[in-house]
Amino acid sequence: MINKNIEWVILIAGIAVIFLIILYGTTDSYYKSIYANKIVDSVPAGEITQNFFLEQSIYIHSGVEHTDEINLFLLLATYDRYNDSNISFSLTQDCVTDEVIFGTKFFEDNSYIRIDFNSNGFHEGPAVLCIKGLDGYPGNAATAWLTKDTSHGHALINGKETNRSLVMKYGINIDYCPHFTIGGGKFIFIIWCLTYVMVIIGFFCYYQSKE
Amino acid sequence: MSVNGLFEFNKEKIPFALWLILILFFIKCTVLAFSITPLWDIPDESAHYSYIQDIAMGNGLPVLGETPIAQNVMESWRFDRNIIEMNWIAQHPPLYHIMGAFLLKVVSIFTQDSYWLFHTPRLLSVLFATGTLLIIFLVIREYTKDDLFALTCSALVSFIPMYSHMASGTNHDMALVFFSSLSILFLYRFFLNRLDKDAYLSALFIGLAGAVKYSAFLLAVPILLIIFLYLRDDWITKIRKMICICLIGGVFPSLYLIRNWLIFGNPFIIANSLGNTVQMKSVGFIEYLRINPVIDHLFKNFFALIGWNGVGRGELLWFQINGVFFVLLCFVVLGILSLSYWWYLSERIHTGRKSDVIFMISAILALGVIFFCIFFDKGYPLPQKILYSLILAIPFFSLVILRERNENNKFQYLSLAIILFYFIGIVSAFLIPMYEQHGIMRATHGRYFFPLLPLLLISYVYPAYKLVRPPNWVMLVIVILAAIFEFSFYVFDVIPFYQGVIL
Repeated sequence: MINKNIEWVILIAGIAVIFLIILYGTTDSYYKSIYANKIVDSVPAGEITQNFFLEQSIYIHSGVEHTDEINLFLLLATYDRYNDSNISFSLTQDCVTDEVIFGTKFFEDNSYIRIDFNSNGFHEGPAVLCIKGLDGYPGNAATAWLTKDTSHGHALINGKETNRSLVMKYGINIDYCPHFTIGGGKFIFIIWCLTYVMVIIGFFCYYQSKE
Repeated sequence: MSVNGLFEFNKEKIPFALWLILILFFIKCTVLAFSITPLWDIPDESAHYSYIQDIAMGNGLPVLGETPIAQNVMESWRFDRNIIEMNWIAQHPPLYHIMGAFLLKVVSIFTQDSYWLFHTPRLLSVLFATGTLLIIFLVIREYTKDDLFALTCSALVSFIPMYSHMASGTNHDMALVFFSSLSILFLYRFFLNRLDKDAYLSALFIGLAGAVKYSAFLLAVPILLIIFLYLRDDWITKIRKMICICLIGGVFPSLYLIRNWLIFGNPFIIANSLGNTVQMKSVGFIEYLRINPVIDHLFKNFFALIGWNGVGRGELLWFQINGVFFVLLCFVVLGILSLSYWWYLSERIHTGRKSDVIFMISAILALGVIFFCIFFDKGYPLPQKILYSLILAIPFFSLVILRERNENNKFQYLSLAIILFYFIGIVSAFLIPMYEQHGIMRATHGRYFFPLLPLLLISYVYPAYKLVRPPNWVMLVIVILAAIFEFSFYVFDVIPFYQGVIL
């Protein structure tokens, strides 16, 4: 048997964690996918070495004015080897540009990387994503996958049309999960949360009666 | 026979905390069913619902390869009522769907609103899942004579995310789990008391499970064999009784088998029989486990495989338990199974028999062989490899049944034998043919093992409990952590997934 006070501490800690989860889960920011193109007959864009550049037209959807970031997921590949070079990703719309630089040594083969562009100054409408190799050389550079699904824009490699598109997912950051229930009912969500709290309390009472 | 006698629904015997767990689980899953889990995001829900609707509307049972999914379902599910897709769930016997049709018929008297019509059959799964928690409590309590452990087991099962997920949708798996658990309850009572009525009831319920889904056959075979072995009669009487028991068990499932035989000329026809085949080179049992991440997927999917066609708007879109939740789960289950494995070994040491020492060495060798042959070259972290090896190695102890003298322990070893038979059956009769037919690993659904839940608790979890005999407050902590685990998994992963967002 343990000290009665510790039992109560365990109970209160358990319930407190449930409430902290509710608080954190309902107030944190979430990524909302706007679109993603399908992987159809995909091919690599070629090694992203120095002087390589790829331009991809994309469309920035409504809602961007109310968020801090534009999130873009790109499907990259490492040729199943370790590469140590740098790639610049920039997003341009009218006179606004935001650039992010990634080191390829942290890339995983055939995995999406998430690029967070500052959404300040961007608005709904077409934009251009540019990928530039900064210091890569053959045998030490990553690549990006291109798909035949061009429903969300085309890619140009070193200025030449490819009739393909980067494999990408586009989305925005939102400040909270839109709804925790299908209809957005908060009351029903609270009832659902309370079932967990009540089981803990019920089990605690039973435990005390056993003790 | 009175209800009290059958289920021992005696208020003095069932602790209030269990009633509370059952009521709260029912409320939790009802909220999930009506307000959180999107429509068609439960495995094969659209086809199950269409099956139910066909019966409710008086169209009779759907015919495999001929009856399409209902147009109103296609409109809601695939956003086009003109798409024609045959109902592949027509391969399953109709007991669950008949019950669902009754529920749907009652609701349709009061409303024609598609929201209520589509969602109400989900209540049936909520009811079966809640009932199963009660049965699990009864089985574990009768076996362990330990109320607190039995209550903890019921609570833990109620906090398995996949269990809650399946309980909140239109799918026959929870009915299968309910009837299978009932059959196991009466099997244990029969094993304990050798009363014929328990054998008949066990057969009846496994038969009802078979009338829900034919995979119950894999559980029925060892159950009927055990009943046969432990009947206390001379051989003639034994065989006579066994024929009656088999008839009781077989009467419900055989009705559908006869129907299939009359329509197709093949009583065991399934949807895959009608599809195109890749027909790869056949693979052996060990080879199949070695070249595919079968155990990895079965393990993950047992705890959570969330999503189906709802969020994907007609396309399959799901996710398995992953990230920090998976890591936590791995370490907890590894701890439990390591202790259980040690208990099985120590039991052999305690007998002091030479044959048991040989068996003990063989058991350790078996674990090593499984580790090196199947998991050694896999890319999993070491604890994960050990965990999967233990999952496969523990049933190896079922061989001890031949020498075990303690009756209670004997049932534990019988449970392992049933699990082993069921696992080999699922893999050989279902997963490998699917692999050979489609050319890829498919249908490694952990929920296929839910009908074994009482047996898994008895043979995989209880030995660890017996070895450690933790103080009561540890059980309190375990239940609280399990509640937090499922709750946080839903809040951080499942609900954002349903809402199309990622934390």
